[in-house]
Amino acid sequence: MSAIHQQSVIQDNCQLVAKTLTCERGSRILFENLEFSLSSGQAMIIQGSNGAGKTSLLRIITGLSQPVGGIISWNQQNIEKIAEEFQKQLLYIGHLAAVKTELTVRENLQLLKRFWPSDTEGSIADLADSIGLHQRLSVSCSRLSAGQLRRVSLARLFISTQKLWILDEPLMALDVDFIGVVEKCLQNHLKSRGMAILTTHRGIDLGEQASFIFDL
Amino acid sequence: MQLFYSILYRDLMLAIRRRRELANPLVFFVIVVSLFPLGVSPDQDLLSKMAPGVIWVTALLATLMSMDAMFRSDYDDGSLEQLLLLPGPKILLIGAKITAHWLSIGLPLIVLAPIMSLLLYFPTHAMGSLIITLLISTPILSLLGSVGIALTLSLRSGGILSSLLILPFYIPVLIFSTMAINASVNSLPVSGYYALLGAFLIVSALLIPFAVVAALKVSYN
Repeated sequence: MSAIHQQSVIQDNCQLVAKTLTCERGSRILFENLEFSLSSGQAMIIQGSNGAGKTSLLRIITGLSQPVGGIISWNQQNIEKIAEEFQKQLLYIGHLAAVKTELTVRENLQLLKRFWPSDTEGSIADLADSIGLHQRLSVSCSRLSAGQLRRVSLARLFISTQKLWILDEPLMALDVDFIGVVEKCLQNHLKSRGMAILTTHRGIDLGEQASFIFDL
Repeated sequence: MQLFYSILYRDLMLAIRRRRELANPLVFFVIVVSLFPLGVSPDQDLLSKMAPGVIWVTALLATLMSMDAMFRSDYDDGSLEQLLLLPGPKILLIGAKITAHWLSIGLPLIVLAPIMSLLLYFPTHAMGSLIITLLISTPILSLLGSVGIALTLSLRSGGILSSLLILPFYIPVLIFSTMAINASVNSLPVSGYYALLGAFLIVSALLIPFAVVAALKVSYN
């Protein structure tokens, strides 16, 4: 009984810590001895000029690329050692849309649901409704605008069960209305003890949720 | 295993949508084989002697042409990194992608080869060995090719480099397959060749997915 209880406490209070991170691109050092720590309910907004290494940092946190030095730990364990467990808690949306343009909106959403099953009941139509594309379900994604493609790739936010969201320029190409929707979604995620790391060049309104800015 | 089937389903669905792109290597195969009787000589003896080699070399080049499709578009639109971040063994992901590639290129080639072989007066009593060598060896071609492609993904013009990387490894497969067919044409025992090719297939199927996972890691760094 107590073991189960303890586990749920740990589940509720997750922590991501980076220690002495160093990243190189070619022979140029992008950043050195970077440290941060993020706990449940917090958002970290990474800012920096173009080429400062924001995307590289995000990719290192996801485990897609390895830092030259330093470690990242999730609940006190190195993410390389618990890759599987960490990936279950991770939602990463990069600046590439990862939407197949050969398929229709419906098929892309079906694939999303197939690969990232969620507890929340909801049909494809509901999901399309939440990204505002319910009238374009049978349209091929090659005929969508940049903003609409972005909406399809952000659809995962609405069915996510993952704790840690890593978003690379999530607001790029979106219209004002949908930016509001994404902000609301992020606020709800943080309110339910989730955590988020994101990069953005324009400000993002996270309401009263805890957030801090990290300058690269 | 759920992951394996999901990826297989996804890749096959995409292959059907991209059938024009997919048909390219198959059309290449048909054209090259049918040009031989026109370009070399319509002489029956000469053509039937050349047939195993011609069919095999063309099938090999057609497979090589199609290799880039395995990871390229997924890499370019960011889907590959999303697939790599799926929780679950990466080996299954790679295995499914290689299987899908073989189903969309290797299998059609196996269907086309016997038909095209008739153009070259290929002796019908050796048809069985042609199909068997293709059945065993085309998966090996897909497997070997996937490593080369995975290693050169991040390079802008990786096409030529990966062909150069892959080709030397294709040569033993080519040699043993055509030797098996020639033996069968001359009514000599062929089981030794099949066993060797089969061993090659088993070893590559067991080891190559690990190599591809490592190669993708290198490409993403």
